[in-house]
Amino acid sequence: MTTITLNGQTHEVPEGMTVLEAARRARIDIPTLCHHEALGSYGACRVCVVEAEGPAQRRGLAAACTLPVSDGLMVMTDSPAVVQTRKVIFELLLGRSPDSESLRTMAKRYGVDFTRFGEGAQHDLCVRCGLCVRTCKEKIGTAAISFAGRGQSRSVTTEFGALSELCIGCGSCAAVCPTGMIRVEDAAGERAIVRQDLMIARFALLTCTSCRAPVVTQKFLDQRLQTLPEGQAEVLCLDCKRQRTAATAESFPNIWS
Amino acid sequence: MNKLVIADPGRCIGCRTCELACALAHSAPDALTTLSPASFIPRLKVVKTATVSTPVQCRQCDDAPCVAVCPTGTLVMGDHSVQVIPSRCIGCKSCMIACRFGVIEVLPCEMNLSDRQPFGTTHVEAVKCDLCESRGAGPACVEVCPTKALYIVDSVVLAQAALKRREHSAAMLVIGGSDGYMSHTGG
Repeated sequence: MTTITLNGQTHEVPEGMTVLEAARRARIDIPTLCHHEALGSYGACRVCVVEAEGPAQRRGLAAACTLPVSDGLMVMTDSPAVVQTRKVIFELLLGRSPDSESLRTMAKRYGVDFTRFGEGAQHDLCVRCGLCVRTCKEKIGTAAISFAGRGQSRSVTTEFGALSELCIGCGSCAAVCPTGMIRVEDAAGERAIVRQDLMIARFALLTCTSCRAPVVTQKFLDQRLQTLPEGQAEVLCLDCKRQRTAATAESFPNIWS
Repeated sequence: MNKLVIADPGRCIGCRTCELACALAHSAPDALTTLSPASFIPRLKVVKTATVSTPVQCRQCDDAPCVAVCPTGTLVMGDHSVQVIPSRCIGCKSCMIACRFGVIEVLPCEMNLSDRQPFGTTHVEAVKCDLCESRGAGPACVEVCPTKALYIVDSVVLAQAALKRREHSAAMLVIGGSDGYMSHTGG
């Protein structure tokens, strides 16, 4: 165990933890955009900035998500420097994505409702947190989307901006996206994975073998469920599965009592 | 062996009290007044067909396909049940497709400020029966069912059920001859 101080309070936390994890465990609020517990630390968005000082850490600002705890570390999550820096970071993010509802709500929570930046710049919803890219590559094992370009032209895209042949249509990118830049659009038996202005991939959905409702993509079945025993990955919608479960339920008087 | 909640369809009258109790047990304490269609998320569903009405819920499979396919360790084998660590969910829905019983769902969930960070963690999560693990009194559905159709089944209850079936089969052999083999399923 490691002893650290969070906003003046002493905490015992396991070694190897990050300051962010330690703070959340202590119910201390630190905002994050690029952090997800399923993925490793990334340190892209910087809104989790804290002030830290310790025997092994020179006093200064650091991203809580990438800063490991160490004995004697003193962390301030709401010092004037942190509050001010966080505000500027939110302003910079808003300069890029002024139309993101979730980013605006979040920024407002930390006292930012306007931005001095971004005039004349290209605006979109993407805050370049990389959650979609990392989820696709590290967890789904697909890497259908990736970052391309540098600086201001850095963006999440498919290979050459064309329809992705690698995408399996799981929609995890959309699920982890904190700003709604990527969406899954299911309509008329088809699924489209869309990045605001770019079609990432399009699929015909397999239909439920019982009721014909659209269920899942073929590529998803092939890749995500290949570990299941043969015959277990079936194309049946939730309702029909439940109906089957109910139909096979046995009523044997007082069997469980 | 894992524990599970199971229903006796012979006793179920389809009133859905279990669904309400489940949704409330997994909501904020003031949910009774604030519950909306969007936040009404029961982890068991009453299914009604022409012949049967019964709640269906997670079987807490010992060799759980949902746990096997989850790429992020969101679904984990806990003490006697399959549990969800919602903050790890990336919404890939592998578990939904893998589950044979249709009792795990990936849903957009409202941020619950009391037990989760407000932003940047997760908006979508796997939802399933957790046997009301954080509830001292055990599964809420079992407690509220007006006809006592829901039961908590552990290895002891399961062994007793097997014994009852065996005794029944033996009795049917004596009384009903060979017909007895199949007739027990009708109740």
